[in-house]
Amino acid sequence: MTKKSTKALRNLLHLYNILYDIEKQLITDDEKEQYSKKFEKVIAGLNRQHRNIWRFFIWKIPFEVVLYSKEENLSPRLVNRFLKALRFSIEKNFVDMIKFASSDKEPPSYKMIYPTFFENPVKLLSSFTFIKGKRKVLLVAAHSEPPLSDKYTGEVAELVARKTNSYALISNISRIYVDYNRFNSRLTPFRRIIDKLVFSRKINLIIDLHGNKSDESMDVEIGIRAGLTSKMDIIRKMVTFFEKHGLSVKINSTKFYGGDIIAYHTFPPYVNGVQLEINQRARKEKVSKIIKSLTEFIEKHGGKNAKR
Amino acid sequence: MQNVNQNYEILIGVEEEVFIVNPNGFLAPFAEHVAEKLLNIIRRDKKLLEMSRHYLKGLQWEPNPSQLEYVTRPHNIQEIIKAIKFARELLAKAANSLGLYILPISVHPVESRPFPINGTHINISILREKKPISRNELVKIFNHIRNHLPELIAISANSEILNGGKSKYKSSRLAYSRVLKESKIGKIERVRYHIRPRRKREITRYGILFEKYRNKEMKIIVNETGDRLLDIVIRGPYTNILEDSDKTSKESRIEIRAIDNQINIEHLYDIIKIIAALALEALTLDNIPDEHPYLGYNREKAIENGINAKFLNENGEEIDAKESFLKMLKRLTPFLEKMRVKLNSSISRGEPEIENSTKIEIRDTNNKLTNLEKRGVIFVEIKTKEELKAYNLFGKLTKIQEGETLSGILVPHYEILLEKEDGIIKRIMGIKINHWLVADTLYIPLTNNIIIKKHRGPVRQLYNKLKNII
Repeated sequence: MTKKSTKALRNLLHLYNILYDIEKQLITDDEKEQYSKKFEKVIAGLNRQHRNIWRFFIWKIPFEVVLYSKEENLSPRLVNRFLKALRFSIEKNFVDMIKFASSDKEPPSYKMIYPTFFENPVKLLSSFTFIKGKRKVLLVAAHSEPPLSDKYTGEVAELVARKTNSYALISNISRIYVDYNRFNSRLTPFRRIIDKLVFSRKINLIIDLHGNKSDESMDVEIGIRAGLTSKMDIIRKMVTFFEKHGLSVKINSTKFYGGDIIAYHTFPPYVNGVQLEINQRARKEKVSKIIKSLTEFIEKHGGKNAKR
Repeated sequence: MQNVNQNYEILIGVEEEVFIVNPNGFLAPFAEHVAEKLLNIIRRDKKLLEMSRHYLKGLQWEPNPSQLEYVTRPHNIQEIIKAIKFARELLAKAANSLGLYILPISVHPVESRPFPINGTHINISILREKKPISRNELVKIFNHIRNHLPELIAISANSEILNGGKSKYKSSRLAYSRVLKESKIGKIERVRYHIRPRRKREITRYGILFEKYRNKEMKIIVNETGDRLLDIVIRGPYTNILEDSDKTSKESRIEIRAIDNQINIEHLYDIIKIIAALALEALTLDNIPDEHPYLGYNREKAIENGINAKFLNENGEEIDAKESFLKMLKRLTPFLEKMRVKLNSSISRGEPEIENSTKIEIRDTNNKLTNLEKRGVIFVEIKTKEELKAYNLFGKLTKIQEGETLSGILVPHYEILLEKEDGIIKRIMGIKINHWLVADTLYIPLTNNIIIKKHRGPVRQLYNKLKNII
């Protein structure tokens, strides 16, 4: 790690501490000015010390925080959520910076976040089906459209969402044009809607449905990015429902580690996310069991079926 | 020369990396899926399997999941042309069955920044009366081709457009690649055999071989640490390359990696023919050629300016790269005739592909926005000078009135204008760039009729937002 990177890391830590203090409401009015100055110093330091820090930031920063336009009507709860999301994104930054500092790999800072492959921007704006729900659960099927689709994931998401009154987002465009489970689709409407649901506190659990081609793997593999995306008790509860219906499950899959949807939109324990990788055989032969397991799990643990 | 043609057999093998792209020409990270599809296609078609076995050694995916590489078997010049055509068509068939295309180009005009990078490696091996040639002859060919690398680079440089704009190099692949270092002149040296340093990619590693006791051995050295990832290199058991120590002398060859991918297959054929002719010419030389005094300078200029470069000849006089190339071509004509081959592309006139079929025109609707975006200053506040269209998150059209102020993230939208045929992108004509503003809940296509009121990077934007929030 270079000297500049170390300094940048230190400044990120300062920023993290400031955010934490604000979040815990430790700052009195007298201290506000002092913190504001510290804050400015940290930001100036970041800009100066690391020429490409903006790329690090843009890679992890929650867009909702920097794009939110109704600042005058901010509720304390939303401010709190912004701060938590930001603090969590800095934690993710630490993980990345340390990971790349300890290897000779190039950090992902040079990648761009834009969906540069907007096929037809207008077409992309309506390339998904959104099902409004009442429960605080979102089912996502990002790869449901052929070619190269994860067969039946769209149907499973729709059925479970309708049965349980959950939210669902189902892609209607093939991943050969845009892969909603990659970092460079974060600004697409599909992903911005997830952002909106997360920050308006309408969801606190994301179930991202995928499929793998392997016939040898377990029926369902649960990816949680080594525990970064979900509380463990949610996973344990989910597993009991799969096992009850005779499905084999593997937790914390290393092969299907979890994609960008759960990596970016979750900040446990407030918003949790799992990527379910359902194997080909299970999607053909045990699809009703999968639907039952998910439905029962959501009905029992997916929050009240409250009015919007 | 009569002697040369009668006794020597030239075998050429080609390794070519290609991009897998979607129908709009953007990278599709599905090399693994294409390879799997290809296996299924070959398994069902016995004839195709036999042809694949005849022409190809194999294919493999590369570090980037949108790259795929095929490797041909060594063939004579007539057969290698068929092999390249076969390999490209085979890959295209597999890709096309998934709705994808192959793009045989060195850098992606929009998505390479500068990586991922593709290359074409041309391997040339020569047998004399079915037997491998000597170390001396190998070095002779190597040094001769190496002395002509500037001309070969100038005529094949083809990777000027990347990241949605023009780079300062005609061959950005050679300029930016981390695995295409400059080779040194080939020498035969008596070296200690059993401890050999080896440089692997960016890291120096040491490999130690425990073999039969041989105090010293005659080795061909083109790189002291036995690195094979050079612009041109000698491969095989006579070299100090660790990976080649178990190879047979029949596998001795010269590998030229300095060639950019040629989207037009005729250009690639012609470059192969020229390299083969240079190898034949080298065999007529009495001595091992010395290094061209201005090789390094000319190489650098060729990478920068391609065929428009100014080289220095052996006497230090300035000469146009094109003139230098045409002179070389004239000298090689008898060797080409002996091989019974003709140049069929514009290369015969000293015109590289970049001046013809891959000349990419860039149409940028708003330069100012592109510059901001490339600097990372992507949070902008604009004022409209006319009514603008806008779409909400669900694609519903609304209007933005003239004089309104909007803020959001600047997002470039690229459109690649291309020609495709039978699963292969045959030509890229241009790139159209326009920008969208992604606001909180709106997507707004931007026109030229806007005023940029404020612009800032993400760190400053975050600071401003937090200050307001807190």
